[in-house]
Amino acid sequence: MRQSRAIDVSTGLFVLLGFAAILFLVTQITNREFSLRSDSYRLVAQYENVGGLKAGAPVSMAGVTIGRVESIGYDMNLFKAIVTLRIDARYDAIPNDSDASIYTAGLLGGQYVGITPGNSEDAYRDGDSVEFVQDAIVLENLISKYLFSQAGKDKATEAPATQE
Amino acid sequence: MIGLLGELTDSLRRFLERLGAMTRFFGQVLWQSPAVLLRFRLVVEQVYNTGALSLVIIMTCGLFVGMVLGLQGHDLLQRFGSEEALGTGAALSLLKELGPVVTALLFAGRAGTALASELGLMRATDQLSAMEVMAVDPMRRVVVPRFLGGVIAMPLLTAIFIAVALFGVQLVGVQFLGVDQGSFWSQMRGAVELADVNEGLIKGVTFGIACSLIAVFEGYNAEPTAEGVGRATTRTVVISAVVTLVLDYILTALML
Amino acid sequence: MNQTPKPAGAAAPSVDADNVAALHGVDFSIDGKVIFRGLDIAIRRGEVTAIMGPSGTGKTTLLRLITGQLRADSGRVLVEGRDVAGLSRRELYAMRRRMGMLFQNGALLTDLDVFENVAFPLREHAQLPERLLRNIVLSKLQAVGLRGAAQLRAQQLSGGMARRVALARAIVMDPQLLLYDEPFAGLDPISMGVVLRLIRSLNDALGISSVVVTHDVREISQIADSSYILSGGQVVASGTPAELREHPSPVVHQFMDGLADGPVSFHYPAPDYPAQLLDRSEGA
Repeated sequence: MRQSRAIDVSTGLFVLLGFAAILFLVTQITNREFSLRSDSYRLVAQYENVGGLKAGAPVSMAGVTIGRVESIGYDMNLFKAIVTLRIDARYDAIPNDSDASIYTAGLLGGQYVGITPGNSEDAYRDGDSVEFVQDAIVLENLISKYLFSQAGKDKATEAPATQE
Repeated sequence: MIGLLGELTDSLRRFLERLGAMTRFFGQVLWQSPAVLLRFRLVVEQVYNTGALSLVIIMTCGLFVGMVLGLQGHDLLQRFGSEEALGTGAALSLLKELGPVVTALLFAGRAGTALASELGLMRATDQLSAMEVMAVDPMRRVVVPRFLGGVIAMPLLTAIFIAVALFGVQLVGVQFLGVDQGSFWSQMRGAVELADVNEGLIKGVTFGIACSLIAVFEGYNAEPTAEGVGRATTRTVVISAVVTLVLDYILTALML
Repeated sequence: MNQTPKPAGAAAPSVDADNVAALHGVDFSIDGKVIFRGLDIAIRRGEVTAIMGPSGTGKTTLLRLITGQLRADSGRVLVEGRDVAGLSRRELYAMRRRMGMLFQNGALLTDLDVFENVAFPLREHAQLPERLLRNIVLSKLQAVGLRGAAQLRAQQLSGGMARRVALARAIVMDPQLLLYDEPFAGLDPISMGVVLRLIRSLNDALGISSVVVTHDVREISQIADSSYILSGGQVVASGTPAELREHPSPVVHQFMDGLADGPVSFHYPAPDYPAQLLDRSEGA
């Protein structure tokens, strides 16, 4: 009987250790920032191109995460992407002429929405639309822009020569 | 040529036979499980047998896997100038893949062989037969408790492995190689989701069920000789390893 | 049954009420290999019945048929008058609680000590107060002479002691029928004498019936009331040990006297000896 009590104790310790490990994993290494349900409000923004932005991507101001991208939809009438942002209720004084642009985090990073504050006295309310936006930078457009501007420059330098 | 074909079909038939037998066995085990859980004492003993006794090997291996991961990960990320991502990379790879798979393989090696050889020995020395004659159902008394013990122990062992491994990564990365402690953890927190932890635990439970089932099946059906027990033990490790890796692929594909 | 030895294949004794167990015309095969053909055996109540025969005649299989672990292909296996094949699982388990079996190796549970091994059936089947259980276990150990060994671990026991503990376990539930599978195999003369004495005294003291499967002819003849000799899947002789010693059949004679050659040939079938030698020298 002594032996079985020792077994009980050891097993109990083992199970406790296991649950402690699970608890550690769940709390210490996951992001437990936002339980975005109650204390938050919504903003809507329209984009020509959202690039690689995904639902769940962070929304930040001055580099501080203040919310999440809740959902991304497409409007067939406007031919634009409709992005819903969920902002933590703590940040309720965002000027309503601030812009929401899509940036890329780091070289390999994912995309996120950055809000640059404007000058308005009034703040955004739940359900407001963001007027000023900047689309995601798409690599192909960049390249073609560069190529065409190069071509334009060549033409300009060529023209005087041929005009002779 | 014909001989080879005949051998192949023979092997195939034997494989299918065994697969069918194992499925039926699994059904019987599941059917008896509720009744066995009432005899909690037996299950507790087996959780001790498979789990507590495996702690040392799991924690040791976890530590070293973590430390190697720290070394390799740091070296790799340094080439891209992203050493602070060490925490993220290590946590994700441990949670989703390394943790469950390596724990399952270690479990099969330590606990699986113990279960198989115990049951095989009981088979070989007529203990199972003696129980039948004493009107005690060996499945209920001996087999199912071992299965349940393994199923309970595996996810716990997986979690412990991952936690210890992360400590190992941190030990090498932060203490030895100078990665910033703050960014190590904050980057990790930023990138790891609850879904990733769930993924690891689900895999742990699934591998636990598979490896425990294979071990008790092989042991219970071992040939009642010394060689038979040895063979059963070997088969347990081999089959557990293969099944774990196959299940790993299937689960990963399903969950991604 | 006490007058003339029965020839092979003869009908079993008529009155089944006297028999705690009986086999009537039992056929049994495994993987196509025939073990028994038309086997008739009667185990009489209150007697020690010996089942003897050369190795491999399926004597252990016979015991498994009686416990219901194996099912006969045809014929009837009766225990306490009921056909084993017709029993439900619950009835089968109830029947087994009234039997005890001693396995060749003892078959003790290796992770338990002596006391717990003997207590095992009691703990599984009866909810006894600990004190009562302890007394029962100790009394059974006393009957086999091992009360002082109660704290030893199963692995520490010698062969003879393990078998005695297994015997204590077999009688702990006060069975009606005791089955012994090769109880003398591998024992030294002293242990053998002890086991012999125990089989007989337990049988008489507890008022039970015993079936002893063995090929230790000299030993079992000292205590058996009736015996059967099996060969080739059938009964080739039966009767009291004295009758068997006088039996005319050469098969029985070779077995009872332990002769090296006889109906069971010394030589494994082989080609002609001189011819094989000559072949070798020619090829050299």
